[in-house]
Amino acid sequence: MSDVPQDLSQAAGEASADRGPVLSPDIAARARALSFRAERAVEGLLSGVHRSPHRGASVVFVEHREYRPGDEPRLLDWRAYARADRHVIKRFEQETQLRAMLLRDESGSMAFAGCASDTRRDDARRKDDHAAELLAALALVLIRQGDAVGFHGLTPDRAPDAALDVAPRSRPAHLDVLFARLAQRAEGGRSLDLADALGACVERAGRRGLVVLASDLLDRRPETLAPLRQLHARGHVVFVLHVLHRDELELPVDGPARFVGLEGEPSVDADPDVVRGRYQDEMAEFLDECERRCVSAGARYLLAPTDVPVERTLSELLVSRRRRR
Amino acid sequence: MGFGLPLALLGLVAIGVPIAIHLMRNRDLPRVVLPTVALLGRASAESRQKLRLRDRVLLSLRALALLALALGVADPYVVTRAAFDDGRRSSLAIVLDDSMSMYATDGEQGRRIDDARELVLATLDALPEDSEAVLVLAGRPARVVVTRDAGVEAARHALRLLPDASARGTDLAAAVDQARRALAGARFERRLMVVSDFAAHASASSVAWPERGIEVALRRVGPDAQAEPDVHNAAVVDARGAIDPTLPDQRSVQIVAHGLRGPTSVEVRGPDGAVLAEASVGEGLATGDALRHTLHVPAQPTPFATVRLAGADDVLPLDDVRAIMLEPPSAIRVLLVDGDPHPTPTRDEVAWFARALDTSSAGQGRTLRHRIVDPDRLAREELTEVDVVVLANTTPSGTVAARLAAWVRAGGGLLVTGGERLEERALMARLGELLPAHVEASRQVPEAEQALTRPEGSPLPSLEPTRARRIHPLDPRPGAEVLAHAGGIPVLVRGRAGEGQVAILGTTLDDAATDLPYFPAYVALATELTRGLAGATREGVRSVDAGSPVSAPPSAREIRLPSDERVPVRGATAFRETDAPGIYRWLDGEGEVVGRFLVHAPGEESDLQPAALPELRSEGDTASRAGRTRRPIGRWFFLLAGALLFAAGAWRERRRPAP
Repeated sequence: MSDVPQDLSQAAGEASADRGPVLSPDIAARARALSFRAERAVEGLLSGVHRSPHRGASVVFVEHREYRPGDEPRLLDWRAYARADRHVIKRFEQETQLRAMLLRDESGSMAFAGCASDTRRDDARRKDDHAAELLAALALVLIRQGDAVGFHGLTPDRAPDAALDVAPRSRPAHLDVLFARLAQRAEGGRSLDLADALGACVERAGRRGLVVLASDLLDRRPETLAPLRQLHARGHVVFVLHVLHRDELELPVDGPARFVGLEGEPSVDADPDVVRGRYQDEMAEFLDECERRCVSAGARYLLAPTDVPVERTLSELLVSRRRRR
Repeated sequence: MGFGLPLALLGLVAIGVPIAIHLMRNRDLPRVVLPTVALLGRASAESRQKLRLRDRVLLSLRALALLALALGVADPYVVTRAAFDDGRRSSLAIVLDDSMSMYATDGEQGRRIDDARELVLATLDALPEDSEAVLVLAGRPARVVVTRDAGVEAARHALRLLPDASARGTDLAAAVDQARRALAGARFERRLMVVSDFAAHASASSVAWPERGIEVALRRVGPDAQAEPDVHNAAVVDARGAIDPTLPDQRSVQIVAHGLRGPTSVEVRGPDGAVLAEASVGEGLATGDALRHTLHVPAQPTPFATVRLAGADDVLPLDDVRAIMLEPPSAIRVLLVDGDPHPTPTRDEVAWFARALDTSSAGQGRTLRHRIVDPDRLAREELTEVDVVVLANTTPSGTVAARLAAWVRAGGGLLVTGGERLEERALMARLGELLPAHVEASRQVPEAEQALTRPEGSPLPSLEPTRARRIHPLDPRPGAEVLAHAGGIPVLVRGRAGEGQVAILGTTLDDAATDLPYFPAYVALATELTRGLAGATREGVRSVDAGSPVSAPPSAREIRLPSDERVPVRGATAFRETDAPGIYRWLDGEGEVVGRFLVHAPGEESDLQPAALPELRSEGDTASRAGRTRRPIGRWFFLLAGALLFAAGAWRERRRPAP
């Protein structure tokens, strides 16, 4: 396990030219106590804490296999030869490092920081910032336990064959690179074809690993999350962090207003006093639909409102996985 | 509706404020960024219509509130014709003019009588519960048709029963007097409303209007005098038939018409409707001049006809027709009932009186034509053909007395004279209500008191030196007129009974108890007394003004109206529904005509020009003298504005979510 910089927030702050430190010291301290174990077998270049599909040199016995010329003689099970007069070799489970790919939706809607014009409010928190914090904290956890973490921003104008923004690395110093990239904010007014963006990531996700998507999932087309199914089919562990602002969830606006989207949607004149209940019903239905589609694609879904602390969302994600295991 | 401060209506432009705010707010709604706007669009699709409705309701309420405020500030008022709608319980006497002029049609406003009826109904509707209402009709003769204790509903019912046509004259003075008397002892605030066209002939200025204790409101229907309307009404104001001595088989009809404008056709029709003569008249006639024209028609077996202005398209058709007698009675028809059971041509009971009538000359008045019958024959006589009945020393039976009473009340004249066969008690029992004096038993008069004298101011000639030896002392009733005394005791008394007159002579008509027949004063007494008794009938009972009662012949079972409608008489002694002008025919049980009479419209009723309303002197009168009340209604607009603003606030708050 590599060493992690003591002052992660400072590192994040230095890396970010667009905003403040990606991770606050408090969050970094609390994230340090977390760990992640892949539920499925993953493939990595280096040894790690995760189960590998390959047989290796760990102490966990898996099976016997007939000796074949070329096998190392030290793997022969002499006791079995004595009992059965057959040459068999012992196979052990290999433990490897995890290769994690962090994906962040960087469409215009992720720049939303609340309906109120007063951005100094406590809840005036951009969704992409919140997503960056979540991913940064997760990256911190993974790199601390020696896993390789890469990052790719799902931006609207990205070419399908473009390389990953940040290739997976496991060195602690790699966090600086990651945080610097996470500190870059989404630009409003641009819409994203999430299905295409995710589809482009499928090929670049590499071997079995961890894929974490932080998005508001506002692209409601049925095929949007289809690439997640492909990732799952290729052995990846897939997390979807559904990042939404509290204002989106509850619509706390008072009085009639003209509502405009951030990705060029048609504006809507409405009185929230009148439509709030109906809107919240629609929102609940939307959340259910997102979770249903994620689960059906083999991904793990977790709603991550911007007003819920990052460490709580992260611990919920990791602790609940442990419980399931 | 009008406005006391019309300039304040400029405040109506304030209505534009909420509208402008609404439009500006719609245009400049605050922009709110929301990435999930698509979800909001789906959610609001249903409620967008409600939102629009809510906004429009709010806008309407606010705009209406401002409108009401602006109108309230402008001091609005309504001009109402309904009187006494202040909600106070009242004892209301309504004098409704139902004379002929009220049946005129004023263009699109309809008939005045209908307008008046609606006005009265509206006033009755506005009366609070338990109010009292009296309805007096002012068509001559004025009459109370609904008394104070009959209830408001009875007044409404009576209004519905007003005839479709009436040619009555106007008697506002009597109607107002009756209304005032009907309000005596009223429980609530006493009020009097008079609804009339107040035409010049109504003489409203000469009416004794109540001055104290009664609030008066005058309501005019029809055109206002101040507008100086030009009311076109052609009318046959008079028509008379006469025997033309130069044409024995012809009858001349003299027609007087007013209001003709240009050539008009005038025609004379017989009782069966056939045209007897017609002519085009009025050419070259100046506006306002009366037309006088004479037509000649063949003598008719039945001397009745109608004169009609054909094609006179005016506002009052009722006076375009006038019924006439082609041979009007030129003599007063006197029926002498001789009570002498054994009359002799020269010395019977009525011989002196008959000779006295015969000596009357036409130059001194209408000719007196008499006929003598015995008491038994009187029961079969057609009283409609008689103007005066003289009961000479006889007492009528009960049946005859009833007929006589009805006939007298309808306009006949009756003279009762004394004698030994006059049964005072029976007479008083049968005709007591009719007679102007109580008749006592006959007694001898002392020598010194036998001289007949007349009181000061008596219309009769001097009776000196006549004397009466035996008399029935008379005790005059209140209102009766004493025409002669004998030793200070009334012996000749005259009084009115309904439309007719009755006189009692307390001595004999012949010389049995007086020497009166021996002197020339007897002739003057006979003729003047008879003419006086017949005076109430004008031309005799065969021609009456509209609204006057007419006694029915004994054999009559039905009466045929000018409209050819038949009405059963049902044993009534007098027929009172003589509203429509024209020829009325009595029919017996077999449908045969047994008598006729004419109903005339008073000529003055054809003058429809309105007169100025009279000045009411009472200071307590709050009703408008101009017939209209200006009632301010500004406070209602302020109340409405407040209610609208409250409703707008409540509507807005209802749509807000609970905190």
